[in-house]
Amino acid sequence: MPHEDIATGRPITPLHGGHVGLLCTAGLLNGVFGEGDDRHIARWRSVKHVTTFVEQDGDTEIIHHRERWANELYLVNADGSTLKLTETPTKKEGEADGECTPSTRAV
Amino acid sequence: MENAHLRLGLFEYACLTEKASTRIRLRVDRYIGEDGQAHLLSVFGNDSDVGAITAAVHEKATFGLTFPDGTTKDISLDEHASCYKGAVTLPGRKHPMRQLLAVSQELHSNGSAGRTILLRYRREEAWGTLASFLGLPADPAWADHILETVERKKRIEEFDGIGCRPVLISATTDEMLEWIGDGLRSQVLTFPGGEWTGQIASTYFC
Repeated sequence: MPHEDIATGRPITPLHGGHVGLLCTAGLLNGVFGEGDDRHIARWRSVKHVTTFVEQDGDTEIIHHRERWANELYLVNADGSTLKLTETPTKKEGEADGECTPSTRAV
Repeated sequence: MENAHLRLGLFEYACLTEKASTRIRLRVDRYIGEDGQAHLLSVFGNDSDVGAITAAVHEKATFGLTFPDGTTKDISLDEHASCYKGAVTLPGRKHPMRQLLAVSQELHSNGSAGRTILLRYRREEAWGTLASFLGLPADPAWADHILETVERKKRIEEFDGIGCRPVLISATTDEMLEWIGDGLRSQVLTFPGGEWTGQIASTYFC
């Protein structure tokens, strides 16, 4: 995993969902967590989903592309079990939205 | 480093209309392609030639490409290619040289759909790229085992290249997670020990 800085401290008020989302997408909740049987590696990422739908306006066909961002979490536990957590249940093959990556990825 | 004529390719665009005939030839210093589908193209030349090629790329034109070994191929960048232009100033020349970098839509979203294109294949670099692009929870020490699995399953395919030795690694995130899980269960892979990095979580959520 890429090196990430460690931040410490306690917030004045408990974190709400927005704060957690920011921490996740900033990569601050990536890493090795837990102890014993709960020990696991977490990796968050943001994925852009594009939903395409067609609207009929008389003889005209209007194609809409609706984009939205979602967070995904991949987990690998110390016992070898893996888990993929997404905000929506996995769709069947052929029903899934198109998935785009956020930026240029020429290597 | 080899002489330029041994390492550069030749890029050719020919367009014939009723009124005019256009033929542009530029040198290629980097290229990644899969049969006729070009993924990365880096050419340089004068301002007007590079401008014309940029327009032709956006019009999804087909180009001729001659590799340094003399083989030729017809290539195209297909739809939604991205073009980036730059200027290279050379000493002793009045005008700067123009460079065009064209990237296919697939390379622009490299890693999605389980296809990751790399400029060259080195295990450590490949593992870092895969972990980053596929969003894998991974440890650098796992590179050898996982990429050995990838090689054994023949998921690495060589692409055409100029100035690089590109490869395509065909593996989805789910497959990689499965191989990581198998490695941990069979104890070929060891879970990272020592101090954990996610200090924020225990501090904020306990």
